[in-house]
Amino acid sequence: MNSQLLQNRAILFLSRLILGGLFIYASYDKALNPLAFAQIIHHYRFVPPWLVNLSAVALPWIELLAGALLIVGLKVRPSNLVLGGLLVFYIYLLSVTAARGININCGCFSTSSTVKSILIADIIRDVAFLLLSIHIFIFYGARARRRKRPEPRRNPIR
Amino acid sequence: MKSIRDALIIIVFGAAVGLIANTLRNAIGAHGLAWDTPWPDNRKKVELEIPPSYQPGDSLLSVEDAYTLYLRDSTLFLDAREPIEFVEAHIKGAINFPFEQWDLYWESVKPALNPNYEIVAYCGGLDCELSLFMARELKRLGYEKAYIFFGGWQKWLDAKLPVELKIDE
Repeated sequence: MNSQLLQNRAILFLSRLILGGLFIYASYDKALNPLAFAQIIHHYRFVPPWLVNLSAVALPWIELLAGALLIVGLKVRPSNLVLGGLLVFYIYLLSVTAARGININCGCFSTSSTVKSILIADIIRDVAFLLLSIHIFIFYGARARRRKRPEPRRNPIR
Repeated sequence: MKSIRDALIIIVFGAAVGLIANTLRNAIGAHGLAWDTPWPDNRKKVELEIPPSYQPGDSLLSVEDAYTLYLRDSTLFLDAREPIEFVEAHIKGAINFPFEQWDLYWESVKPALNPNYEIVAYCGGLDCELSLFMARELKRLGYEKAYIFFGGWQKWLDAKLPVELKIDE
């Protein structure tokens, strides 16, 4: 795949739309059911008790806001940084959880206790989403930088 | 650098919106998350203690699992200790059902039990197996979702989970 294609405005928009839409979708159930989401966070056996309620209440709204900004094209690089950072953290957390042999619902898209996750599949999925974020990070930035670069001054003809 | 600063602003702003939304939901009773919802520290793996009289088929719960059930409105906690101990302090919302006085209490406890919902039996500490015997008896009577929270009261206290004290009542 050549870089011209990856820099294509439509392709970049598609990446933003998929990544942003995904996080908006992921945030919906968690924002509506903070208690169920707090239980899922607690089940990871990773977060100190004082941070469980705060994470459960704040995370879905951060995902929602960053996802919406990414789609509408406002603060694209910062919102992409937030979502990319979250994905790196989620991949790490899922890997640690899988390595510890803890079998839980990942809570990625649903807070339902009947949903069971295959953590390895969740990790692979998140890596794929991270590639979208990296795509936006590299090429959206390149477009913006190129637009800002001043025109080279021509030598005056004497 | 500007992007990192703006990313931090997005995080802080998003978190603030979440906190405000949750506070509003709590204020209007729309299923927000209560700020004082306690969570036992489960970062270190704790092996489940096995009661001396354990038999295959006994459904044992860790404090974490018991608390997960506790957060469901439908779960009923049965305190198998004597009334004098129960009155002093017990798990918040639990019903006293002294196992050693089963016949005396059964008729009054029975209406509160639902075979479709989880029942968690507990007693004092690791030296008390009344919860074990109670859950087995309940299962025999058709309450399939009867669980044993072995060491229940002591573990619940250690984890600083919700209790009712005599002074509260």
